[in-house]
Amino acid sequence: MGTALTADGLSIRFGGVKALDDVGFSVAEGAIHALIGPNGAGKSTCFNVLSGVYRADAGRVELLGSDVTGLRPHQLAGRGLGRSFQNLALSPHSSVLDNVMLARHCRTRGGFLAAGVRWPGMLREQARHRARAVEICTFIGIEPLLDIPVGGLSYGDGKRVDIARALATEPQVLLLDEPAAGMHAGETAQIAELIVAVRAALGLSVLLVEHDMNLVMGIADRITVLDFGRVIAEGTPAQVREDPEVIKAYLGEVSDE
Amino acid sequence: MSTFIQVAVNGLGKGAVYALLALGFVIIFKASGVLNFAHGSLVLLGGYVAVRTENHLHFLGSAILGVTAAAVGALVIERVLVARRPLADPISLALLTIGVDVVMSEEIIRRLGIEIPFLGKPYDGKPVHIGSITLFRTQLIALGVGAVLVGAFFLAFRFTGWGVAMRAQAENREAAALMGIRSGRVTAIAWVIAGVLAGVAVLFLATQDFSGAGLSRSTHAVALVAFPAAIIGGLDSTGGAIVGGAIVGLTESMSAQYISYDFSKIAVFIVMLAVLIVAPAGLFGTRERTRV
Amino acid sequence: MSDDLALTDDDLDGGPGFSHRLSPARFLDRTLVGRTVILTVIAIAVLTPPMYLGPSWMRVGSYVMIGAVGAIGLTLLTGQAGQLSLATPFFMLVGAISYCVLGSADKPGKVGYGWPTWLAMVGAVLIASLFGLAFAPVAGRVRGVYLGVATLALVYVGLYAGQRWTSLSGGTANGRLAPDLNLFGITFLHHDNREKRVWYLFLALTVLAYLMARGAVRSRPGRAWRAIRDNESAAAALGVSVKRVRSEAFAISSGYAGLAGVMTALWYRLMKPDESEFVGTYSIQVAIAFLAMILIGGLGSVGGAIAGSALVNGLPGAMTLWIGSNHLFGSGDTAVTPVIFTAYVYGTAVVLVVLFEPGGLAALGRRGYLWLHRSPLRPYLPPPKGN
Repeated sequence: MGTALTADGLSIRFGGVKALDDVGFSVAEGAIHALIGPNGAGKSTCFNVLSGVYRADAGRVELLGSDVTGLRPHQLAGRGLGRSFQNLALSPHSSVLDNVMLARHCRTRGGFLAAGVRWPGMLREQARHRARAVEICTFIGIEPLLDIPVGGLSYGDGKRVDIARALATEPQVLLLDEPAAGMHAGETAQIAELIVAVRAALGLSVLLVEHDMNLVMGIADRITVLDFGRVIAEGTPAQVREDPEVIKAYLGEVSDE
Repeated sequence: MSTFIQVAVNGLGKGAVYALLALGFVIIFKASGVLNFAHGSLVLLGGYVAVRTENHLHFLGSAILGVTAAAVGALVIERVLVARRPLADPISLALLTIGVDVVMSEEIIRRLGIEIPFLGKPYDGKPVHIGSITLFRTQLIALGVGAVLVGAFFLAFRFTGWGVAMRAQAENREAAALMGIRSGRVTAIAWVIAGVLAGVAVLFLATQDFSGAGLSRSTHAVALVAFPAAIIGGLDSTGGAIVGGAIVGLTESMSAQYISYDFSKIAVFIVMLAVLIVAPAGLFGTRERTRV
Repeated sequence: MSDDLALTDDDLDGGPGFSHRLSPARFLDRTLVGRTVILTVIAIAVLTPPMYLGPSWMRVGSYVMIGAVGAIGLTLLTGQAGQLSLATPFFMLVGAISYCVLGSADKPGKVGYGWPTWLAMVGAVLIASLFGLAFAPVAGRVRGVYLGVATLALVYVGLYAGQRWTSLSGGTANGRLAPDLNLFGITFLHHDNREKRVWYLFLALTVLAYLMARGAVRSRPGRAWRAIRDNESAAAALGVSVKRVRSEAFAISSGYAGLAGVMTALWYRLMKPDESEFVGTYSIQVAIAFLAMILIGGLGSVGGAIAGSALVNGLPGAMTLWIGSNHLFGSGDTAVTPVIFTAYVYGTAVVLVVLFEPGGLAALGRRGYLWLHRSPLRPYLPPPKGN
């Protein structure tokens, strides 16, 4: 099995603080890989570097075999990297379908003129892509909500829309930013099921940044642990759970919901 | 050389007035997150009250009344309007102030009719001669008054309860509220201070020395020049407002003298565009780190 | 009858935006009737006025249409794509000057290329678009309200250019005559019934502007614009090139403004740059008026932009004609004129909209339409749409 996503020697500094210090790990193809660590460990920073939002001061990022260090988010999206957002980042006044259709933007063509005159070729293409978007939404379970403005949805449904949207970019590697944030045990279990189902159905590789230990221990194949911007442990859930460094770093922060 | 000194001092004097206006913008921006397009109306309001009371009180009395009127106007705008929509996005709030500005300025300009009264009678058009150099008295006094007011403001900003509260609120609104800072009051005081600064500024703006035009629509437009001053310095930097004001004042006089009067108007905006391209949040404003 | 109601109940109670759904054939028939009726009413409303209204009213209507075109462009840029812009008058100026330069014959002191005027009009719109495209990178560096002030700079640039380059602009004293438009042999400006001809011409341009904008808003370009407005990082992460989408928005919006500029030159039959930056055809006051139009109409709403223009550009002229004088209240130099009164109205409307109904007239219209949907007219009405 090859690697889908590799971080190698990533370092970044904000002012006087070294947020990431020589961070490296690999997400195997088809695996669910979790990135965990106590608050302030640098998980979000690492996530942002991998998704192109920040530019690291040093280090490399490799995606599906090619070097993508320093590429911007929309370029990464074009190379098969999808991501979800912790704060959902949806357009509240637009419908669910409209939000998901945004993900098809880079796979469709047609600018103002074509859209303005309702060029038949463009309308046909839109219909095709709309069908695919509906398919993805049905798989995620939000098909009944397609025409509802996103602003009126519950947080849990909004999360699903966000994931559907990420999937609609047809990624091969999916980055999930705290998918269980703000959810109780029941909802977390549902999200866990969804991630596993998505991986099984689409053959994706998944990297998730997460606080919720139940989710992580439940579905991750491998875990990388950060603390103070450094990797302090890596392994299977069983290995990481026993690792003394990890226990020391967390000391009582395991959520027991 | 003497021309240069004249132009420079003139520019700094104008800069002092722009700095007062820009400082007002920045204070409002820090307190409410709003780009106050109604600032020009506050300027007009202060000037109008000063003009109308001039015959009954002497200069100082009418000036004080004008400044008070501008302060009250600012307070009313904040309390009645801006405070009602604290969660609105910055663009909507800016548009709100545009609406207020349209109504206020049209009404004041209408009441002036064809009058274009000058303010600042004690010092307007009375040049000061130092050797071979002739300086505008208005600009000199503006420099002095500006320095005093700015100094007082910074002292207040650093050392008074209000100043500390403002800085805390500007940094993290929620945390400040949780710490017991009464956001409504802090914000109201901020607007009042901005109104005071605007009311003082008009006493120099509507003079022969400064703009060649009395209180009129063009005073409202001249107040607009304070926008680039605030932007150049950085909308959330009080120190930046002073620097921005100075830059704008100097740019205006230098370009008027050495290039052309027509060019001086756009010179300021060209400088602003240049600064923005190099420093998108102004010279001293806080930058975002994320890329898209 | 009750069958239809049952079906429509399911379909309609989900909320706006379900035009994606396929409807049963019977449902379509009724709404087809409804749509036809609505369109016919609108057509009658805009095609017949020249038959019963005099030339002065025609001029007011044409002036509203100029504002409508400019406002549609601005609502796409500021309302849909979230880029605050005060530069509409600048691009109008570019459009007007370009039209005159391209379409006039060359004369000493006034540059002209003598193109066929319909081509000059197209050229003017394209040139304005190019200027917009050139400015877009600035918008990439500068965000939010900062961008608004940066665009203000363009109005000053336009003012200066108009004053200095008199061989292009004709100078602030005289300006230059606008060449008559010649479309398929039809000319407009030098006839006895020119107001009527201009009305129909502007109507055609406005309808074209409206249809194209609506088509874009509902499909791929509109989605991309809304994405960069609501959350740029998310848009980028989904593969949208924010830079390109923003440039496109500026180019299109300035093209619309350029067209409005050409229409202005035709309306005045003259293209004259302003003497000051705060009062005049291409001034800051106009920029603010356009912002008021799109806010009152509802940010992002194409139909709302037209409604906004009807208020801001139409009210002064309409009032003057209705009253028959220029003084509403008072007299002399401090009289409240229709222009001043309109300023009060739209200034207050802006404040009210921001405070109480951020969706503007479009939101009010939507609510009214939903209310209509609860009436017996329901089967005839097309489903309400979102955005």
